[in-house]
Amino acid sequence: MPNSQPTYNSIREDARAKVTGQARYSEDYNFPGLLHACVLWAPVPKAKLEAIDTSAAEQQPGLVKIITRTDICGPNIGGQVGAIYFDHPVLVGPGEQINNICEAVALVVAESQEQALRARDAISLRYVELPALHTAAEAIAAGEEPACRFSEQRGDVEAAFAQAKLVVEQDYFFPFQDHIYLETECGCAYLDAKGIINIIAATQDQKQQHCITCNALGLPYNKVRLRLPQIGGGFGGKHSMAVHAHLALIVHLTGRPVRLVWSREESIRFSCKKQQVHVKHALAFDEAGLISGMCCRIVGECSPYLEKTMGRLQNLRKAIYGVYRYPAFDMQAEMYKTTSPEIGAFRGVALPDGTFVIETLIDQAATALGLDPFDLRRRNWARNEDELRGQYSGSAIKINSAQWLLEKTVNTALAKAGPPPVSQGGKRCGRGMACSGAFYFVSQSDTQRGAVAKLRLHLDGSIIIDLCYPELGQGLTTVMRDIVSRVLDAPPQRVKVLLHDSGHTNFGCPLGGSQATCGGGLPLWQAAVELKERLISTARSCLGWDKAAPLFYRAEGFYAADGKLLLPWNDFSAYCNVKCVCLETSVETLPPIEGLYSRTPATPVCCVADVEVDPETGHVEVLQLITAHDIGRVLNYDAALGQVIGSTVMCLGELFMEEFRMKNGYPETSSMAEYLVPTALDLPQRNIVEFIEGNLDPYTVEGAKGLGEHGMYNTAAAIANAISRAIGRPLTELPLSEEKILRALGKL
Amino acid sequence: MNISCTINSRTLQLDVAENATLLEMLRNQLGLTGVKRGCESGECGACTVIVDGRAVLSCMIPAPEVDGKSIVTIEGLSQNDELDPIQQAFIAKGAVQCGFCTPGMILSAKALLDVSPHPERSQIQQAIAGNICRCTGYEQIIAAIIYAAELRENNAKQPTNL
Amino acid sequence: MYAQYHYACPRSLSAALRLLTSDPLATPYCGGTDVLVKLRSGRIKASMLVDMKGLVELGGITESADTLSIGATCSFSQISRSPLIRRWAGSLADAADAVGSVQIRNQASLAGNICTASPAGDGLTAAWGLSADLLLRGPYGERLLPLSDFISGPGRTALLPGEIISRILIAKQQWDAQFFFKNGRRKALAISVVNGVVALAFDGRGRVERCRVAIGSCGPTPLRISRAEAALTGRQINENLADEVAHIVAAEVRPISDLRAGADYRAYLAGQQVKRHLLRCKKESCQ
Repeated sequence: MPNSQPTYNSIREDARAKVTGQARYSEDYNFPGLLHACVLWAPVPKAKLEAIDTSAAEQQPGLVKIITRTDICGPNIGGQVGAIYFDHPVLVGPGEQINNICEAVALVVAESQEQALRARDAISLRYVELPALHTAAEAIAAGEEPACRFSEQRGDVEAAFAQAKLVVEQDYFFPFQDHIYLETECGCAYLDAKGIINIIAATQDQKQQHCITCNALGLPYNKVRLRLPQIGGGFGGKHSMAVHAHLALIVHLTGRPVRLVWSREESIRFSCKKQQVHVKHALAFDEAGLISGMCCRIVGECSPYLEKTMGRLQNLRKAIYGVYRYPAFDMQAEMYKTTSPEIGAFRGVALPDGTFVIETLIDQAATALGLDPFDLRRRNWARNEDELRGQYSGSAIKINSAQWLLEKTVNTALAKAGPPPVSQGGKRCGRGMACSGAFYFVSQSDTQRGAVAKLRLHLDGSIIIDLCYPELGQGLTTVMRDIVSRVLDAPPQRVKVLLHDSGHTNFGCPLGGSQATCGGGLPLWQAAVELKERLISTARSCLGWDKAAPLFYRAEGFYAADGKLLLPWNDFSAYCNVKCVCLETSVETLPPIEGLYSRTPATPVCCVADVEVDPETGHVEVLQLITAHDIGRVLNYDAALGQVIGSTVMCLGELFMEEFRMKNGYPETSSMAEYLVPTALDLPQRNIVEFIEGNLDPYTVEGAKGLGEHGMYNTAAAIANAISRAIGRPLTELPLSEEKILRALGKL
Repeated sequence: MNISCTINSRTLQLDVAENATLLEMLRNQLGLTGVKRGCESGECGACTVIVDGRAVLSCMIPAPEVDGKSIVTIEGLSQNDELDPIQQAFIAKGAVQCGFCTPGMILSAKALLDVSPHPERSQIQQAIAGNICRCTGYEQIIAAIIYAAELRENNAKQPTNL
Repeated sequence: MYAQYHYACPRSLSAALRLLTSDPLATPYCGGTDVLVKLRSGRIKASMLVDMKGLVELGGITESADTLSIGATCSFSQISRSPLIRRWAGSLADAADAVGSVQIRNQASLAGNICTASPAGDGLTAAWGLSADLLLRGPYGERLLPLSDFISGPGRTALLPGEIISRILIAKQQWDAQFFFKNGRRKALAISVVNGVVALAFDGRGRVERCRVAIGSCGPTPLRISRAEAALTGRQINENLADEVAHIVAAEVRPISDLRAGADYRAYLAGQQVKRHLLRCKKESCQ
């Protein structure tokens, strides 16, 4: 596959605003007469709420309004939006049941933040606490049925295990994980001159929030306008309902602008989490070192509101299959409703955990069989699309590229890693690897259908992209700007990307699954090409030329082949104005390809990690981390590198220190002092990323493949495998710690 | 409570609430929203500003305390639309993603470079260890600070059409 | 912030003491890195924050013939940068470097760390290991108290109403090597899981003449491990002795299990770190 194109790079279009502090995030907007609001949260994990006594609170200075369930005219829940049913209430009222600690009971609105908080403290609740199930184990013991269940079998698993040369089995535990975006949930809203409620708040899915808000509150869609600000990180956590409905309700009832802010503690306690699961996984191998059977049991706890839980479960079990082929398998997954927080999207969409399971277990098998870990994997890889897709029904996983470059990513990573580390000075070294076929989204599904962008030329010649996808910080606006800038041959400074505003463009696209560039890039490119053709044909009409004459468009106007300016832009735009020529085009996501419901291609990634373990203290130094991606085409090198490095370090956090704990329905980790994420001192000594370009996806712009989550998939497994090799023990409970390593070594 | 302080080279007379934090004073009273609220408990560094030459956490400083002091916020780094070398370096090296940690990170970098003009990687890591970044994984930020040190030394400028 | 309080910045010690004695909820503070966090969470209430940084008497690091005197308002950054501290109390300087982050070190004070009296306090453990004394000032006058008598448990100090720490005194002792160590769940902004001080002075024949072994985060206060010190005195450091001392330390500490770590792990780790640093001391002093 020839790769003669240079790797693209450019300066980010939002960087200047961000380094000068001019970029505006949800909390940075201010309006005259701004009210301040805070949420009164449920006092206990499960109760029948009887009364909300606001009498003392209403006497508090500066108090403007206390809003409760009775103020909501609509059904109070988002209901069916696309494929998901949203049943988490906006507010829980008297006579209703509190089902976990993340329920909002009232909104307190005052003239200042201090006054709102003080008034909130003066509200008293009367409730009857109810017995509750807090963990899956409790639910199972109580005889509860799973709220969410998945079961899939193929072949004779019993026979495979009975006849196996080797069976490896482990119990894994993955705790809840919090996103810890640096910007907490917050937003502001106001009523504009037309009586429309404008909401400025971060979200990864404006359409979904728009629907939930209007459905729940009984407001017409055109009465509410959502406008995206700059977003301080999402990582999947800002897909969920947070502040939008509350903001809309407050503006609707007070008529005044308002700001609602979640403290960091509220964000950690009440926002959605990555799922917490126990996974019991077993692999059977035959004489030739081939997997003959797989048996997996997943048990986890979900919140009282199912919403996205099934989706997460599906992703997890797909990830556990990994990139291997199984003649026989038995996969059972169950989630039980408990008082746990909402299971939301988390970067990697369960692939990090699923990959951890399969990649560490197969490594264990390699050790037991006395085989090189790469060799064992290679023997068992799915060799083509059918074998990869054959794992499970209903999947749209496809290998989009002409070749399946998994082997090349492994070879690249190993070559870059150099010779394995050598143990010395009492320390023990190890090398580990992990590989996955990470997926990303292209084209539309029920939840991803819609407009990608509107592309328009202003009369002054500036090019405007009304982007429907949110920019979370990953560099999407820059890539979209660059695509248009290249097609239209315009300097990047001439292309302006506007963040999504539902008043300008109808449906916003959700951001997840590494899809924005892949799902949106090609349609945008095609639209830019179409727009350019229309410009040129209009210019020909303006000049009175026939179709054959070559004419070139640049920002200044239209040029002949010899570079002579034939039609200055201003003259052209005056012509368009008079003739009512539309200089705008709408960009839609690709329709389903080949009749599939949605398209989720998989692209190979491999990670190799070298570690040094101190067996007396359990301390782990990650000497190097090498990740190789079959990326198709790098659309912006700095952004791509940043995404991978950023996600490898986030994965390092998951591996070594991140753990959101609940006890009896209450959060035990509530602050950033208790929920730890990596600092600049917690890095691998070398963190290297290799992009393999040239194996293109035919359905995306320039053949680029998804990237934003890919550093998450293999990092933890590769490092865990390296540590296991160094200490000669498997590690299956996350997060790892020096203490757990010492226990594995038998030192404690 | 009346205080007088210098913010980004301008001396101001301010009436601040006794129980306001410096963060609240900067954001709410002065509209300097470049400084960010991340945790209000000293754990994230998003609220970092420079007071009398030292990087500090504005969420944990009572506003009246800055009477007579000199404060630098991110807004004070660019002069007449010209970016400070650290800002230029962050842009050039792709060190900005969501940007929420960026103002605090740049000020921590400035506090370091003002005292140690040629820091090594480990010194840089120490200097920014109190600034959590969830997006970048820190490597491009470290590269940017190394580059900023070079730029400051050469007093070279990037093209200003960024 | 939500909590309501006044702010005062007295310019004289007598003015400060008057404020503190007149109102039991008047709270002295220096860096604010503990006090403001607790005020915000509601863990403490204050009618007034009394900013001690205006008091010249509480600032600076000075020396006399046999004592270092660290002012209560000295920040950890100042302590880390002080040539006097580096010369005489290197383990305290290292402890200062281990606290939080650069920003926190620029604000937080050793005195504040001591008053917070968390057994995980890095500055506190180092000062404990160096047998610091505290000069306390109150409405009655002045008194001197050993640090080990000042703290009786987590968050419990011997401060009388209206009393403050004015200076932290560390005797100038010649050590051949001294180290502070800290283990946390990450490498910055981490509450210590185990921390400690090891300091050794050798006689002319390579035997331990004086020593200090102190461990923090393994009990209600930092602990001097006298049994370990006794086992070391008069002997030459080698692997066997270091191992023996490791076992003594592990047996003597009284850790609890919490969110961050288990008790048995803490005890084991304390022993391992002491062992490691005894051998480092030996190497450093070329004994």
